[in-house]
Amino acid sequence: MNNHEEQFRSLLNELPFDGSPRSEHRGAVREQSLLAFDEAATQRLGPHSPELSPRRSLMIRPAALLGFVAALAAFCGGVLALINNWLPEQHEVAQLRGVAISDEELVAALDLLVEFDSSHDDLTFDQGIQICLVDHQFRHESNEVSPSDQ
Amino acid sequence: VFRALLEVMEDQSHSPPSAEKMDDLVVRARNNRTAFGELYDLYYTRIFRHCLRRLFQRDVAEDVTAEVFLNVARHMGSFAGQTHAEFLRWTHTIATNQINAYLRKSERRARLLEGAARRGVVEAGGQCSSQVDLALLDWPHVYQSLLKLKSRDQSIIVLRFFDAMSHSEIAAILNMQPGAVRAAERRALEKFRNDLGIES
Repeated sequence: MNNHEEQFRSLLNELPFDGSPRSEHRGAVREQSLLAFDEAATQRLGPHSPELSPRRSLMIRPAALLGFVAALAAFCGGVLALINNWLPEQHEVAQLRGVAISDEELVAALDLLVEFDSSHDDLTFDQGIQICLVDHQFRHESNEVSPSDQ
Repeated sequence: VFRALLEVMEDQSHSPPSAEKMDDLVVRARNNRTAFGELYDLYYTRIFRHCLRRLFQRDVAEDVTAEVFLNVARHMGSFAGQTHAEFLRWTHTIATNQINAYLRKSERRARLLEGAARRGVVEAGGQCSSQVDLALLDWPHVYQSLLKLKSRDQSIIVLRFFDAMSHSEIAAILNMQPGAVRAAERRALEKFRNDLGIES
């Protein structure tokens, strides 16, 4: 504290100020404080101590914290093991592949249908049927002429 | 011999305990009722005066002091400090928090200010002005200027100028850096002096 501050401090502390406490209040608060002290001690040590909240219990008790960490680690390990161990069987792979292939064929067929519709949408139904039949006939004849026959 | 013995005992009861004894008392008071009672007897007046400096009205200061010691009593068992200096800091931290919580309501501040103004007029013999002559300077006027500062600055001024605490002790109580306390004190002091009409 510099000289200036020291002077100011003296000035403030020299002002009349009655800071003496009342003995009745002092005594009453003493009693209350000792009572609160006893209650706190009983709660801390006694068998009827209130249940700690799970969060507070974790913060205070190392054993609880360790248990929580161990349980969490076991759970995470289990989930990881489950993910790693689940590998599809051979026949499941083939089945999945078959589903994918049939899906692709279905999509291709739908595409063809849409394409056919858009390119022949000015034709009547009979004309469309006619074109389909001609097309079918052509494919049928092509299939009958096999490469071995040639 | 008996009289001499009584005098020695009386002397011992009035002389302040040594630092080692105080530290020992703080450690024992964590789980010893009698030691806690002794600790209370040693610190009650100091904390009450601090509260009275900050709150002006005796009844309010008594209520807050009671709250402080009830808090101390409830948490003494978990107090981790080892020395009386640490105990003093802890108690002052609780007191500062309680006082600031009390002053947070503006109508309470207004009531305290009004009380100080009324007392100031009575003690100054009817004179009331914002610029106080140094000879007429009294505690109610000083308190009115003090209450115009921010709560944190009020704490700094009272802890520094009335409780004679160091910057690092105040920093520990207010959870600040010592440098920040120094800077805040400088600014608060300037405002405080200006309000009192004292030239820096």
